Amino acid sequence: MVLPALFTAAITAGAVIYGIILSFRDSWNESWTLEAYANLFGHTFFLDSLVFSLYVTAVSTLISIVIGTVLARGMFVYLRGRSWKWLAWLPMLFPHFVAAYLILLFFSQSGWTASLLYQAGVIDTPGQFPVLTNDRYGIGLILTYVWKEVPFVMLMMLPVFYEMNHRLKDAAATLGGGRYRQFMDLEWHYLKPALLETSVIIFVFIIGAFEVPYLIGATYPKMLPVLSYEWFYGGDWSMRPAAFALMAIITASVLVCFYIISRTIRRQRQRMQEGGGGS
Amino acid sequence: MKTVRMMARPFVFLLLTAVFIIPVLLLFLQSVSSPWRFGTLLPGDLNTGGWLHISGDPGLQHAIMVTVGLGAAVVALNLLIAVPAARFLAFREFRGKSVLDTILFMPILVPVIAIAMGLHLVFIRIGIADSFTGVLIVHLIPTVPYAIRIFRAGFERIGTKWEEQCRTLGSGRWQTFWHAELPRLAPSLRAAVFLTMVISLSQYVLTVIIGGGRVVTLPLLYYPYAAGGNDTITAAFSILFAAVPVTMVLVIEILLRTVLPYPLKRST
Repeated sequence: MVLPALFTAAITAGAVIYGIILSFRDSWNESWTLEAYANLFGHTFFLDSLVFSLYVTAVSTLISIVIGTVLARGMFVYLRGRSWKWLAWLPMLFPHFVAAYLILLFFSQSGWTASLLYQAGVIDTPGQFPVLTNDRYGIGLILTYVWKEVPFVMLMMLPVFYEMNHRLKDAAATLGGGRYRQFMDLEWHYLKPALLETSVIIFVFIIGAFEVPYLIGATYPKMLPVLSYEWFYGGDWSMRPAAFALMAIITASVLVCFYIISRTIRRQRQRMQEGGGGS
Repeated sequence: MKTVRMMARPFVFLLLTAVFIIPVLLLFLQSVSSPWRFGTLLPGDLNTGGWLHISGDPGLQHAIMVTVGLGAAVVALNLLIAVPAARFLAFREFRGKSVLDTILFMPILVPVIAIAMGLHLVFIRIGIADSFTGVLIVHLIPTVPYAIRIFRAGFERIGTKWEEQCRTLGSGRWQTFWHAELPRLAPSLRAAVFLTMVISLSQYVLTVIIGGGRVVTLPLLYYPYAAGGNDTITAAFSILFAAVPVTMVLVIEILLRTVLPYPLKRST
């Protein structure tokens, strides 16, 4: 029954392993060498891109998680069985690159927000509006990802709020717990595994995503997947193995992190069940 | 304290509306008016040029056909692959289940560009690079893990009681699925079809590398427009991306209602 599904996993594994093999070959695929990794770590672009990618990914993930969870917490009572709740999922209808275009429409120097500020008399020319898209601080990228991921976070967190035993909060209040204690002793334990899981999914997606930075990213520094793509397709064949080496490093880091974090999540869920935390 | 929170709720909802709905609304307005100059907040005219371009360009028309065909095939294969796997994972307990779980989830963790680069040479060797088949196969990779998750949650929700009841009444496996489980899986089916279609529509780099520019889908044509084309056309093009999965879900809904002899539960 699971065999066809294993087929897709097998292709993925094959692609990863083959990519790793190619990263240890020379650019003509004739002999074994560590050249690609030497090229990669010796390249000035690499370190800048690495720092930039980690920063954009971490900030986007954190903001999406916080806003999404706060919204889910504030709205879960209202969202149950309401016919208008699909409005919150509106951003999920659009591919990421369309979201990036929306950010361009809204936040480019001649975009809608700039026009709004012009009408309000704050700025006179488009040049006075800060560069927020294709910028070197990754603000356009972060805005795009936050807009896209917040509904996803809500979708992942809403079931947690529905499953939560809210009477325990009253119990805590009766025992003299303030709002902070109520949150930390109860809600936080329910939220932690789901928050970790959602964060990992988003983080992994953004660090490996190509579509958004290809449209709205800066010329320098580039997000890692874009850098890899340019080495892969660029005229300079000597950088092709480095493109594979770069992806091999990202993939390996992502898989190791996921393994460690998913073990933590499983332990937390187990502890919740043993403690009778279910409603 | 309570009253402050009560008053904060509508405010939160308004904010949510503003942030998620206004951009989409403006996108729609832009698609039916000339590109807005700096300083304008609302459309100044009515311009159907964008939609006329979308519906009139032969290259785009072909890309729509390819994209919808590809999406439909990806959805169909996803259902065939994910439903049995999800049922198995939901109802069976066995050693190494969590390992299997992780393995099936893994394709989502690997960056698609790494998958595309790794498969490129292999696909050239076996002769499915630059082909519809090749692109179809790689589109399964980022979609199947999500479809499995959705259906697994669906099966876990309905439980084994229906299966047991059907067995008692002497029906076979297929009858059990068709008459008892499928009607109750309708919400999962909607979600899976929708998400699979959206993910397939979101693939640019995977299609570019494996399709080699020969399999031209909508995202491939979108980039030049979005990077500096006419805003009216790009806005219309953007809305087209949302229209495709919505249409797909409607088609599935109609199919379900005609094929299944039971009234369907509304999504929960």
